Amino acid sequence: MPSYLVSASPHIRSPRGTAAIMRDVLIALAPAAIAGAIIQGPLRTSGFEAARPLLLLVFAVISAVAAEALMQKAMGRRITISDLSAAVTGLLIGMNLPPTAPMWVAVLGSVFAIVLGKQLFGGLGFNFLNPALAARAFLLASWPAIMTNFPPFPVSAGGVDAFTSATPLVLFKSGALAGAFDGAGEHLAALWRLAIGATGGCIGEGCALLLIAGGVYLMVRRVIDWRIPVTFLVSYALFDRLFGNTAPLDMMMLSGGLMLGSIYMATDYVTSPENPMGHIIFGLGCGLLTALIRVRGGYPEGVSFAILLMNLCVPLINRFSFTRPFGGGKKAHAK
Amino acid sequence: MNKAGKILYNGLVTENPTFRLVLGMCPTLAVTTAAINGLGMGISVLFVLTCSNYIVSLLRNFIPDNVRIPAYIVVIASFSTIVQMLLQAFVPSLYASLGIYLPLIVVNCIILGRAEAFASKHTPGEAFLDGIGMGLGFTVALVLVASVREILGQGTLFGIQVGLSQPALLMSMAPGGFITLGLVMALVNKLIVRGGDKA
Amino acid sequence: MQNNKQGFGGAVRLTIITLIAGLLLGAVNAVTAGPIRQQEEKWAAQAMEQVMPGADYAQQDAAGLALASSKAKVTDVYTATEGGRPVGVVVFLTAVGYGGDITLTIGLDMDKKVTGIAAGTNSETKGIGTRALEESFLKTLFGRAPGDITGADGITGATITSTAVRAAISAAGEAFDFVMGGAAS
Repeated sequence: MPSYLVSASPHIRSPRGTAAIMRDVLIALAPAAIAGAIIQGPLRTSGFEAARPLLLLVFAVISAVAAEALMQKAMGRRITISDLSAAVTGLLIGMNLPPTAPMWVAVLGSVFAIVLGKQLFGGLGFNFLNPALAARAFLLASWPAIMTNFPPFPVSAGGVDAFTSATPLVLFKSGALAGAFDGAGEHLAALWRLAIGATGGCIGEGCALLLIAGGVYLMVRRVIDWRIPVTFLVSYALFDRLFGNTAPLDMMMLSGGLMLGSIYMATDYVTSPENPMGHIIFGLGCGLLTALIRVRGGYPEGVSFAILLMNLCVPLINRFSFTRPFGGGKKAHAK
Repeated sequence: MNKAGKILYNGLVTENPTFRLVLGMCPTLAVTTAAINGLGMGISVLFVLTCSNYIVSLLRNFIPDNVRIPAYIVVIASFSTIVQMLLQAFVPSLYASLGIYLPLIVVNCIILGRAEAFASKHTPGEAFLDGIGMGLGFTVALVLVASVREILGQGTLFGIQVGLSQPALLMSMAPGGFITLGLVMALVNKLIVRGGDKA
Repeated sequence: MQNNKQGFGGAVRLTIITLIAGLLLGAVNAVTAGPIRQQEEKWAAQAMEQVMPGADYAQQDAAGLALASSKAKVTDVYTATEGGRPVGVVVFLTAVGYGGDITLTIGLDMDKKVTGIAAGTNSETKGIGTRALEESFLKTLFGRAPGDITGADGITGATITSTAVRAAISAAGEAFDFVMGGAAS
């Protein structure tokens, strides 16, 4: 009598598990994170403050992993920190902090993200908001002075003076930089500074070049769908001009958390739509909201709020976007 | 436990209006930014609830079914207005703190809910006790949530500094209210249900 | 529950209940109206003493005052005199804040400079908006005329409340002009 193995789908499993995917994300983030820690650290200041950015990153990651282990133990669940998802969350939180933040901010942010943003809902896969962004919103609302304390960034001789104080986005919004980049030479110099992250801002969001490189790596490894970042950025560019922003577009694209958010936060599997069409709608919405907040809203930066708002829309997007079923003909079914 | 004790314990713990019945959420979230406000609102509601429960019970045979809701509202609104006038005259600081939430006691679901669910079906004595029990339960709940929010959000408790040098401003705002209420409610329910009382 | 006479009977009983409630409310009102008025007068006197101490105050008629902005409303204006000599004006206002109206009392001396600001009832967010109503911030506005106070005078994070305070000072300036006969300073 032959014995049959009866089970529910899925029947074909990818050899790549959560840990492998998360490992790829960490590899992609590492260069930008380290660059940020160096630029915002020893290259900006000296003494203990030079080590602070790196320490913030380390503390954020450790706190996130520890919080997950402790919380899962307390709730009587299997401890899953080896899947590295908590580590990724911790790193993202650290990269979203200003380089002057006290250590307890990193710890509290990570704890909030893991405990309230993830574990209380049931763990990986059950949260409805990106935990790192939820933590950032919590930190920003609770300690606005600490979270927006960006020290002036010293510039070596010969560089463009424009970005020495606050963050580029704050300066763009206040109109202080109107006409500052009319000369091609000045424009390129400022653009280069933005690309490598030699400006004021959060630890990990500055180095656009390395972030994009990491993003390309993730797309090649098929960890993220190119549709989300690309539509996010294209949509942002479109609406940024549509809403009447006069600051140089290439600089706006490289400023703030746009690269970090579009490539690494909006693409979080749990909180983004399930299929390609959904990804496009999601990216469109994120870009629109980011542009709206940056150009017309009260804050200089809108990426985190835009993504959080779109996270809330994901169930709705899932309902109205559909995949082409395998072997399906011309018609696709609505979910 | 005798009958009176049972009714009081019910309102305080088993059927605590905030944590178990989930009634009166709007004033709970709005007023719990500071412990003293929670205390003031709780006591005001206790007064209105007890008086209206007593009167509704006294009139339970006099009020016909078809006009019972308007009748309850008249009673509740009258007592709520009386509390308002008394506070304005004799405790103006509390009147100022509670602001618009004082006249809104009328539509606090706890009071109308208890009038309908309990007072109209029990003797005046029992209704009076239920009012006290529920009022105390509400007050305790408010003070509990408000204390957490005040300590974390402003670093004080009843106005006295308790040492938090950098309080989390979010706690004084609406999201902090929801988060605190949710977490405290979960904790309280875990403790109550574990104690063996099943609603 | 006994089902009494439907409709008509119900309406009659409801009316009876309402009448009794009305009488009761009238009685409580009679008892509390006096103390309420006393509280208000006491508060007003305290506020006036705080912003412009030691003067004799005479209430003025501000009925014809038309304000430039709708962010603040003048409820009362008093002229302050010491020994018959005018020393300034005390204005009671309500300004539109974050959570509703803010009651403010502002004193202006004869140079239209702020002598004091007392913040009364308000529904501003505790710890955030209320920081713009605290002594430490309001003190920074003393000794300045309404025209000298700019958008930079405020508390970061309490924009709406700060704007309300500035609007009130501006309106107080207008009330001053109205009562003192329009002499600009």
